[in-house]
Formats: sequence, C-alpha cells, structure tokens
Amino acid sequence: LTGEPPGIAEWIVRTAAAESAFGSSLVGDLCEGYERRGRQSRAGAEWWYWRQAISIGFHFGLSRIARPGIVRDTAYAARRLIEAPLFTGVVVITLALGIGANTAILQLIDNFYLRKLPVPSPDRIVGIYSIDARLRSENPLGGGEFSSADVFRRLQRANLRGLTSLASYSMEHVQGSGDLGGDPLWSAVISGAYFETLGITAQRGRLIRGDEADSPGDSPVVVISDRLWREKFGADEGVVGRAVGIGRGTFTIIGVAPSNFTGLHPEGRTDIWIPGGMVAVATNAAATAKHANPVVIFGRLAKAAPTASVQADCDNFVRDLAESDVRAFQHFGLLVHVRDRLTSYEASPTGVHLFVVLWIMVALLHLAACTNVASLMLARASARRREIGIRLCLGASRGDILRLSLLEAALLALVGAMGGVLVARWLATLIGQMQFLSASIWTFDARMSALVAIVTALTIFQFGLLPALESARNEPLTIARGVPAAARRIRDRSEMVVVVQVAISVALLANAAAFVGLYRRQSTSDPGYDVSHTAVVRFSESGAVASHTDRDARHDSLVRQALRIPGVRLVSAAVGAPLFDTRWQGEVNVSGSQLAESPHETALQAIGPGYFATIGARISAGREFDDRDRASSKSARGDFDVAIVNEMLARRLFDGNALGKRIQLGRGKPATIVGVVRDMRDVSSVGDVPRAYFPLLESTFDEFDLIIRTSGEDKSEADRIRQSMGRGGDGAPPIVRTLAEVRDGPMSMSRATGTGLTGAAAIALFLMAIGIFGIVSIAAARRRGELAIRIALGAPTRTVHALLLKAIGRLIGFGAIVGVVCAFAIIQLERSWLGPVLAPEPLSSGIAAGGLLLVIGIAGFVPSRRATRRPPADVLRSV
Amino acid sequence: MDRSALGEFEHIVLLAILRLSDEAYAPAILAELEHRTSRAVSAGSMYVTLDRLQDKGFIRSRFADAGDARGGRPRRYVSVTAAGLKKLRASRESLFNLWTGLEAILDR
Repeated sequence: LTGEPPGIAEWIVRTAAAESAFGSSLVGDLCEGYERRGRQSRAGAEWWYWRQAISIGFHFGLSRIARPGIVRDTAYAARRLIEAPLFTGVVVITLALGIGANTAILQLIDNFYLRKLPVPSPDRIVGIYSIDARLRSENPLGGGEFSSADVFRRLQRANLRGLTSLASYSMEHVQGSGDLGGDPLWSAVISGAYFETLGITAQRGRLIRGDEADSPGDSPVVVISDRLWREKFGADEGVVGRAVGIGRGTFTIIGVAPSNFTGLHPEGRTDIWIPGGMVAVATNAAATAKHANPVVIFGRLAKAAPTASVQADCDNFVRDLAESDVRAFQHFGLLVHVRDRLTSYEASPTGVHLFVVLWIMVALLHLAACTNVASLMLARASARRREIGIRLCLGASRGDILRLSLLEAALLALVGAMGGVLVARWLATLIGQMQFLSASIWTFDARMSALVAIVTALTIFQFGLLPALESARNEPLTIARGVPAAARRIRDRSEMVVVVQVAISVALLANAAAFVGLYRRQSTSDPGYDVSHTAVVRFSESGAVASHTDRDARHDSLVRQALRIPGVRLVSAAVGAPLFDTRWQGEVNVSGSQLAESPHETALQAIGPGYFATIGARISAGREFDDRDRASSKSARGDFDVAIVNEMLARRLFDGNALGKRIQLGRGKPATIVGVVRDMRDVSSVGDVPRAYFPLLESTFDEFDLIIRTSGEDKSEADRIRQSMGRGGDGAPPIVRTLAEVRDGPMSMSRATGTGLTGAAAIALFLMAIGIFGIVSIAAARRRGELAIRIALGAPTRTVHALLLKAIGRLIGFGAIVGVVCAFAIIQLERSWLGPVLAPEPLSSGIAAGGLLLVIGIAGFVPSRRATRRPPADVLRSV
Repeated sequence: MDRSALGEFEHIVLLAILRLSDEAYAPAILAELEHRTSRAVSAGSMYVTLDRLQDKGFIRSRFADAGDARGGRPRRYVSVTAAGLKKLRASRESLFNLWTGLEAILDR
C-alpha cells in the first residue's frame, strides 16, 4: 500500500466536493486512483493526486460562484448600497484614494526595480562598469587617466566573445528650439549599436543606424520619445521628416521610440536620442570639445553565453591595458552585471528605502481609512441584525450570510478599485512630472491589473471580513426577536478599530516628529564651515581626458580668472563640494602596519590649495595644502606625498596626535599628515565621519569644482560668477550654486519626508478623531436613559463626561502603547538606512504629543457635551 | 435558453456512460473519454458535469460496495435515464440533419 494521499490535497477535494452528489464517492475514486498509481511510483501518485485536487477545487469553486443564487445576492447587495448613497459614496471615495495611492507607489517600485526592460530577451543585456580596482568599488567620479568614453572605444576594438554587440550612451541636457522649444531636453547621446543591442524597433519611422551614430558631425538625425511626440507634436502622424532645432544645429526627426521605452537611464525619462557624432552640435559646445559626461557601456550577451565569460574577457582586456600602460591603468578594473531592469537594489539602495518608507506611510493611512470603513460596516451590520436573524431562521446557512456581507464589501471594493485606477493614473501623472522619477511610466497591463487586484483583495480583507464574520455569528432567535445580543460584540469590535487607529496615528506622528526633528537639526546645526558667501562652480565642458599638465594649467588659470572677479575673496578647487557626499570612500591605514582585518571605510576628498580657508573651516593643527603640494611629474600622479585628516580619523588612528604621521590609502604610497582639520558634516550624514583629504594636484582627477568665497550677497554674486567664468570659455556657461543651495538638496529629503509624514499623520488623526467621535456617540446614545436620570438627579456635568470618557481613555492608552512600540520599530528600521541621525527630538515630539491629545480631547468631548446638553425630561420621554 | 440543452461535453459524457453500461463510474468514464476522444479530460470538469447531468435528470446513480483501496467510500455507478436517452436521440437527430448534404465538402 502507498499510504494516505497528501493531506492538504485531500482536504481541498473534500471541501470542494462537499455539496456534490458525488462528494464521498469522488473522494473514494481519487483514493482508488492514488492507490493504483502508487504501486508504480509514490511521487507519481502524489503528483497525480495534486493535479486532480486542483482541477476539482477549481471547477467546483467556479460552479459554486456561477450558481444562480450569486446573481440574486449580488443584485440585492447592489440595491442595498444604492439605497444608502452617502455611505456608499464615502466608502468608495475612501477606498479609491487608498487603493490608488498604494497602487501608484507599488507601480513605482515595480517600474524601477522589478519590471524588465521593454526589449527582447532583457536578461541578455549586461552593463560594463569601470571600477577603481584599488577601492574595489565603482568610482562614480570617473577620475583617473582613463575616461569611460576612452574605455568604450578600446572595448569596441577588444575581442569580447560573449557579446553579440556593444553600445554606449551618455546623458546630456540640450536646448531645443522651434517645435522642441521650452525646457531643456534630456538627451541620450548614443553609440552606433545602441538600438541594435537593445533589439527594439521604432513605433514610427526608424531608429538611428550604426553608421549615423559614429560618423562625426554629418548625421543630424534625432529619434524622439513617445511622450515628446504626443506633447510637442500632438501625436502628428507626419512627424517623421520634420526639421527641429537642437543646440546650434538643425536635426531631422527620423523616428519615434516605442511608447513603453523611456531610455536606459533611471534618473529621468529620455526625451531624445541623438548620434554620438552630433554631440558637439547638440550641446552647443565647440567642435573640438569632448563631452565630459560619463559614458554608460552595455552589451547583449550571445545566446547561452554566461555573464562570467564576458567578465573573463573583460579581465583579460584590463590585464592587456595595464601591461600597455602601467601607470595609467594600474588601478583600473571592469565589472560586468546583468542590466535587465531600469535599476537595481545594488545600484540604488537609498531609492528602495525611500520608496518603502513612503509605501509604509501610505499603507498605514489606507489601513486607518479601512478601519473606519470597517466601523461603518459594523454599524450597518448592527442595523441589519433583525433581517439577518430572519434569514437564519428561514434556513440560510452562516456561509450564505457571510457571502452576502462579503459581496457587499466586494462590490464596494470593486467600484473603489475602478476609482483607484483613476487615482493611480492621476498620481502617476503627477509623479511623472518630477524629473528624477519620470522614467517610470504608467501602463495598465496584466501586471498592473494584478497589482490593483491584490491591493483590492487585501482591502476587502481589511474592511470587509470583520463585519461579515460579525453578521454571520449572530444568534438567529435572539436577534429575530430584536434583542441586541450582538450589540456588545459590535461595540467591542468598534473599540478595537479605535485602538488600531490610535496606534497608527501615534506611529505616524512619531515618525513625522523624527523627520521634522532631523530637518531642524540639519538646518540649525553648525556644519563645521561657513555656509554663507560661498559658491560652488561646476563646469560642464572640461575635457575629460585632458592631460596631467593641462589639468594643472587649467586649475591655475581658472583660479586666477575667478580671483579677478570683483567681490571674490578666496578661491580653491575640490572634487565635490563640502556638502556633497562624494561617494569616494577607501581604506586608510597607518603606514607600515598590516592591513587591518576590517579596515575603516573613510570618506575621501581631493582638494586644492587654500580649500579650508575658502569654506571657512578651522585647521586645528598643522597647515592646509598649498601650491607646493602638486605632483612633480606625470609619473608621480596618484601617489600622495601629503594628507590632511579630520579630528575623528586622527583620534581613531593616532589617538589625536596625527601630525607628521604617515597614512596609506589602500596599498598606495605612504603620505605624511601635514594638517588636522575640525570635523565637518555633509548634510546627508549629519553625524561626523572619519575623513582624509588629499591634494587635488597630486591626484589623478581631471574633474574638479571651483569653490569661491565672496563678500557680497550670495545670489547676485552667483550670477556675476556665472557670467564672468562663462566668458572666454569654449563650452557652456558653468553651473554656479551657492553652498546654501547645495545644502538644500539633501536637506530636502528630510524636509519632504517630514512634510509628507506630517500630512499623513494629520489624515490619520482626522480618521482617528472620527473613530473616537463615533465610539463616544454610540456610548452616549446607548446610555442616554441612564445619563438623563443621573443629570435629573443632580449629577454634575463633569461626572457625566468622566463616565463617558473613562471608557475610551483605556482604549487610547492601549492604542498609544502599541503605536509607540510600532513607531520605535519603524524608526529603528529607518535608522538602519539613514544612520543614527534620525532620532526623536524633544520639541517636535512634544508638539506631536500635544496635537494628539488635543485631537483626542475634542473628538471625545464634543459628543459627550452634546449628550449632556439635552434636557433630561426630553431624553427620558424618547427612551 | 433551454436549460436542459445538452452541452458538447455533457453529450460525450452521456455517450461514454452508455458505452460502459453497468461499469460506468467516474474513473472508468474518465478513462473511456480519454481513450475514445484522445484528449486529456480534467477530473474536476467531469465531476461537475456528472452533477449537472443528474440535476437535469439525464442520469441516475446508485451506490455499490466500497473496495479496500477506497478508504471505505462506496463507488457510485451511473446510468442514463429515459430522459437522457431521449435527449441524446434528439441531439443525434439534429446533428444528422446538419451533417446531411455536407459529404461532398467533407469527403474532399
């Protein structure tokens, strides 16, 4: 004998076929079949049994849904909802907002992190990233002798056997004119095989061919995005062949990209694609200038070729490069990753964290709204107890009653889901207007429908199941006689709803207080340098592969040029402004010692002479870099002779006494510490971090920003600097921002999150207030006779208030404890993403607690006061 | 719509029951259907169809002994009722009417 069939499968069969005339014999038939097959193979028999169980479950489930009663019940539920338009309207709008908001956020996460690129076989698209092998991480600054454009050119000539094609793109802001006038366009400057590698075709016209993309300057063609085609050309069928102005050239539109393709760049939707050879014309730069923006390299794997084979080819390529030019490529490495989505958790973990925080916030609000809807449904269930009792007496099963109540919830949720789709679409349009989220596109496909269905099903579960179960639990005879036996249970359920609402409100309020507190600290704390009168100048055209001597000469000339501007007091240079998180991190060790087992990651920055004086930071010991600290020859670049550390790193490595000691970056040459600077904070991580500074002019970085200290008004100085520094250059005018503006960037995260959470908390408070209002009103109505007698006998009003409010006090206390525990857990989670900077702060927490108490007080007191103001005689007459 | 109309699957299930005569119980009907029609038939759809045919009065069922291998559960044998036979005859009649005259096209 083979033994018993799989338990769960057998349960499915028994449950599904319970109402079939063949019920017990059906179970026997399957048992028989299982035994027979089991003699040959146990696994085969189980697999067969499971298939039968699923088939029977599916068919009997369908036949049950499709039986005539369901249509009648649905019509009845719909009629009942139409008879209560106010209730139905409020519930549908609440559900639509909740379902829509949840769907929109989940769609964002899906678009960026889960959905595959809309190209054939997206799994075969791989990205090839330049890395600094010494830092063992991607070097986003693209510094060093090698530029990504140069690497791409060399890779094209290399023999990467695992790839069928190799392509690249870089992103540039270009200014259109004529039909394309208005805001700057986000343009992908592409190499020849871009579209061929992706394997997509144009929805209208054609895409850019290889020969057009690579020949310099003589193919003024452009492919426009679907959005641009609709917005700027009104979806004109004759758009192909039209001439448009881009930069200082006239381009011909040759095609419109597929509607679901927004480019490969996650930080914003691509508007146009232009051939690499036309970049100078499109960006209005001098023909000799090389565009500085880094090039992103990607390729398509050959069928059945593993990523590892391309990685091995890339490693060989890197080895050959290093042999050909040891100095230039000694720290160079390439990393090959599958790039089948817009972005990934590895590429942008912060984005995931922010999305998840946002989603938790919206989901909590939706939960709060659903609990209110559940409360309304409970009230309806209580009002219908007589009808339900009669149904039960007449032979309706509890399943029938449950189904009837769930049908009502499902109908509400269905209409809510339709509204939710509209809300999600509207939110998606709003989100699409934000540049950094615009790569996400709204598509209502099977995937989206599934998402809406899941959110809706969870919504029904949240608000429909509890009242439905409550209805089905009623005792038929007592309720048919009109005895409110279930009233107590319904009150208990409403109380539970209030506990949940208080908990959600407290959790959201505490979270909002933490973010508002973070913003307050960021905006008021001393960062360790002077934010006012300092501007950061970033050049968009700088010649990424300029030689070492050019870099130094350009530095000196730019500093001299800036110093000539009236009102400028000090000028220095740096890679990354002081407030930017430069993302350049490395292992700094005491020279001569063994590399530590777990070396400290230290934030690194390359800075020019006079940097600390320019930004107003204080040197606590030694000196800062000056003109002496520059590489004596080309071969010496990348080996640092001197370094400056901050106080924290000095304490960590040398117990504070760091001057004259030697440190080593990775396995590089030891550098002597010539200065110790006070700890400075970049806004993204308000806490102090260990930092080491190396001379820009000894580094391999070609790119740098100018830091300028002025004496006048920040804003007008910035304009003057922009004009002065732009003159005489061959590229576009530089981007000049005041340090205060730079600081506002990262701070806007905490400000926006704080504002968003405060808004969410306000809505949660409102929902909670309605809940508390309802509970006290119900209590006052239920006890109106008793209260009237008390008042008539001379009980003071405050005693009556105390009677009514005492009951909710317990609930609020319990809800608040649950809320604080939840808030603590959520904040701990957020701290693990954002660092210890996120912590409750007394003032904002106090305001939040005060607001909570005020709302609770008003919501409880108003119905209580109303109950005590009616003359007792009137009340007693109506009881 | 005539609720007692025969669907295609109901039609072939009735025919399979007639062919099996006294041996018509669910697993045997399933095997007969798969053998004669050379297509996979799902157990779920067949049991639902048997339920429906019984509701319409086209089949009747009787219990028989439970075998050792059935966990003590009886077999349920089915047979076609007079109403079922009448329906099949009518169905055959209408199908014949439709087939007649198409030989020239179908035998080409």
